Amino acid sequence: MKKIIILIILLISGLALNAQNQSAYIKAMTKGLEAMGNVQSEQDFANVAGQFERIAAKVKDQWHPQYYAALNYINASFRAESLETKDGYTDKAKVFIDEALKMAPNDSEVVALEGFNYMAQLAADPGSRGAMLSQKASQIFGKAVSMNPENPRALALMAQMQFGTAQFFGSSTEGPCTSAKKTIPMFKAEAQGEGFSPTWGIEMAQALIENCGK
Amino acid sequence: MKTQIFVILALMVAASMVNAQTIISGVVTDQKGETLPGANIYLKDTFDGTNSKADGTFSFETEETGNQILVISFIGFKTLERPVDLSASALEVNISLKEEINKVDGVTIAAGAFEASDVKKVTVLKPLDIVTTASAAGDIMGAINTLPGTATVGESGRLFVRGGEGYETKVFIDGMEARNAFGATAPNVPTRGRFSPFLFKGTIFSTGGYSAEYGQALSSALVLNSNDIAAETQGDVSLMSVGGDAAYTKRWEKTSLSGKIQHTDLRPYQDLVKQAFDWEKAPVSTVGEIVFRQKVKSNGWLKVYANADQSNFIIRQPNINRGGLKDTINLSNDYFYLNATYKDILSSKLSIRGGVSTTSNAENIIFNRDKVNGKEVGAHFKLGLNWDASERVVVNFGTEYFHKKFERAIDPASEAAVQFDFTDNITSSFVEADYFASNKFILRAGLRFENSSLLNQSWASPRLAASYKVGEKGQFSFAYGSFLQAPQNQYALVNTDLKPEEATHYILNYQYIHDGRVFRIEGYQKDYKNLVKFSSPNDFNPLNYNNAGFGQAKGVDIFWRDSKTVKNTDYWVSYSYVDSERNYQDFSISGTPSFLSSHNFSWVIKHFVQPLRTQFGATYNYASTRPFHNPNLPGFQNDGTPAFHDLSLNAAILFKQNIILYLSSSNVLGRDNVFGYQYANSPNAQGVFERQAVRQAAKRFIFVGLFITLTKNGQENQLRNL
Repeated sequence: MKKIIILIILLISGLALNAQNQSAYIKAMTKGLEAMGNVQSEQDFANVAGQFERIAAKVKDQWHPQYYAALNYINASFRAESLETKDGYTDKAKVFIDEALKMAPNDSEVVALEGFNYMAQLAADPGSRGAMLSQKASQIFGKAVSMNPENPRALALMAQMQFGTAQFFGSSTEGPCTSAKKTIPMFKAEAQGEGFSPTWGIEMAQALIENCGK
Repeated sequence: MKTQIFVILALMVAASMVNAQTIISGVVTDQKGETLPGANIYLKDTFDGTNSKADGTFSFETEETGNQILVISFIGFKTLERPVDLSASALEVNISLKEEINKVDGVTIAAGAFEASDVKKVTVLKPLDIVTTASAAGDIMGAINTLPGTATVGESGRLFVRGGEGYETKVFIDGMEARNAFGATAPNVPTRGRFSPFLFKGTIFSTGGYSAEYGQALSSALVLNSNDIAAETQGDVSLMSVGGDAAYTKRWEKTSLSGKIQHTDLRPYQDLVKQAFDWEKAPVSTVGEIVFRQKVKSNGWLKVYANADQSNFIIRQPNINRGGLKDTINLSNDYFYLNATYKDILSSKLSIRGGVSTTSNAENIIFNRDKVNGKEVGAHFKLGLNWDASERVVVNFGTEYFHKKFERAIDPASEAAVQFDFTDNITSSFVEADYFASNKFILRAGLRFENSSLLNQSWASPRLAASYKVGEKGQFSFAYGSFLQAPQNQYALVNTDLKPEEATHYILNYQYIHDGRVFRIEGYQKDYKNLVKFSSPNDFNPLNYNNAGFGQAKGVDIFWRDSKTVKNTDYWVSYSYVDSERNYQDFSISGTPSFLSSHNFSWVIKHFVQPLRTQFGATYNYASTRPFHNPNLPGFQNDGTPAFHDLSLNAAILFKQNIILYLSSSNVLGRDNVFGYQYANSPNAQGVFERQAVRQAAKRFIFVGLFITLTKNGQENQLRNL
């Protein structure tokens, strides 16, 4: 009897410990995602990226922390001033994307983020990187869309690339604009969010649609 | 008993619930005491941590207790782990991070080398620049010829570097030798590089002092790095004023395979545009290429490239010794090149690369009625290792084997045929260590060892280089090295005991790179010895050939590039000064060779006009007078040609996403450039040596090309190619 009780107690405390860890992870992720909602400056993005980086250092079997660390470094790169700093951020993002890709090589979200990082590198120096990286980014967005045709981020990023190209060549932007519009209901449908799955991107699609009107 | 256990357990659980809080705060600085914002500070294996603020300070709360490890990480610095005791309610930790040695983007060995690369961030040129240069007309060598250290030698088309002859530059593809990298040609008919610039993602053009990994080149190494796996399945079609090509690329997950057929025929063009050269049959060539890429496991790459090229032409050249009667030169060339390389990462500290390349080049020439058939077969095997010996030391070492067989059959119409041949096998090893003293100072020491089977002799050539970074943007570099090259085929053929020629380089360089602007100045001194000397070029007596030749070259190269000041505009300016004399070949005394012009200047500009979706480009090349020997005057190399001027223009128009139109013209001003003079062997009745000028093939070369790319979604173009 004693032994059984001890066993039960040990079992419960073991579960509790695990749950405690689990809840700490959820708490840390939730805190990070909350912080993500309030970012403005380059430094804010870098700080939030650092937050996810710390989670990623502890939780090595989930791709979400890696994903958000990379996403925030990419966003920091868009806001940074010098080419060196921009490249520093995208280099760092690459490390986390590679880790996430190892865990979830066939996840449309992670693949789309890989393309987003190329887009950020392209934006840093379009003159000399445009030709090479636009091809690469388009190809990866295409891959992300084919993995999940319902992923609004993959679709919106793809539309963004196509829009830029069409504008450059003075050809019709109708195609990318139509597909950008299609993503809005998709974004809205997922707004409640499940777990830590990415839900960002509606602002990007809306901004693109606004540009389409012009 | 039961209750006791419960109580103890309850207490234990409670203890872990009642968490003591500790506030950890402090400042993060670098070794010099400068504060570091944005560093990541956290307790290992917990979720607790923060980033340092703009002033380097940080502060965070934790509920952890006891002995923990505080981790501080920041880009460019070594991650620090420090044990902390969280028994108190507040803990102040001040941290000084040590700079991490950056082996990729930190200080680099820059003396002598011009690198065009996408991989490294700080480079002088981008791969794209090679093909968008107006005067290049799609030839890699044409673009390289706008860089300092090169001299314009219009009748040759080869790379003449720092007082060196064309043969002193050696071409490598993915580290493997590429013999006969220039097309076969007749005297005074300019040639082009054989390899399409579209095959390569990066280029290192070294004008001296290069790594011990490269040998058998006296003056310069041009290292071409080929593209990785193709992006996607696509077809390409090009229609050009001088021919056309069709290519197809198939992409699988880990593999890509491309095939290309190119046919060049200058006959229709030359019928249309008046030529100064008298072509009986304009050059025609057919090139087939195969490119194969395979990813092996996670880090291995197998690359195979094959090029087969068949070309021929017949040209008539006036002969001053035959009263202007023309010699007919009928040349046909069969060329094959195969390059296969493999590289892989063996461990975090060791990477391996190896490969094999073979070249077969047969040139059959009919000079009037005399036949000269030459064939060169070369093979190169290489195995190299890169070892990250420590945080500060990288060692690059390997071994190579070069095989060369050259044969020449001379079958004159009036005399008996003669045949010569020789085989040389060179075994070599190289070892080179880079020592990163800090992120500001790097030292490289290397040694190359070669043994020739033909001569049964061995040589060791030392190399030394160092770079010191001054501030964020500037850097001084120094390089020294001894460089050996086996004598040219036509001399080794006659006398197989000739030693390799030797050049010693001393280079001092200053480079400033910042924000789209590059400034470089480089001074050098080059000493030649053991150059081949002979009494007359058409002598087949081995005793009349020796290694008594010598010479030197010294000069200054300056490069300035600015892509920032004017929007959508990028330009660069190169200036080279060289002072050189040698006593080699059939020179009677020391003199400046005829290929050398003291001052060379290039100006390259590219401007993109967004509304027209067109990139316009211009190149202006200048070369000062070139010496030649005028037998009507006393002295040696005693006269000079007029200076060389060329203004070339080009435009690339992006018609549609998948269609590009490319136009270029050389020498738009139509200047009649003279490269030198050929004098008669004996004087005429008045006692004067008559002469004829060596000139351009035509006033201008005009190129029009339409490049079309076909993909499933129609998104791609050959933009990256232009």
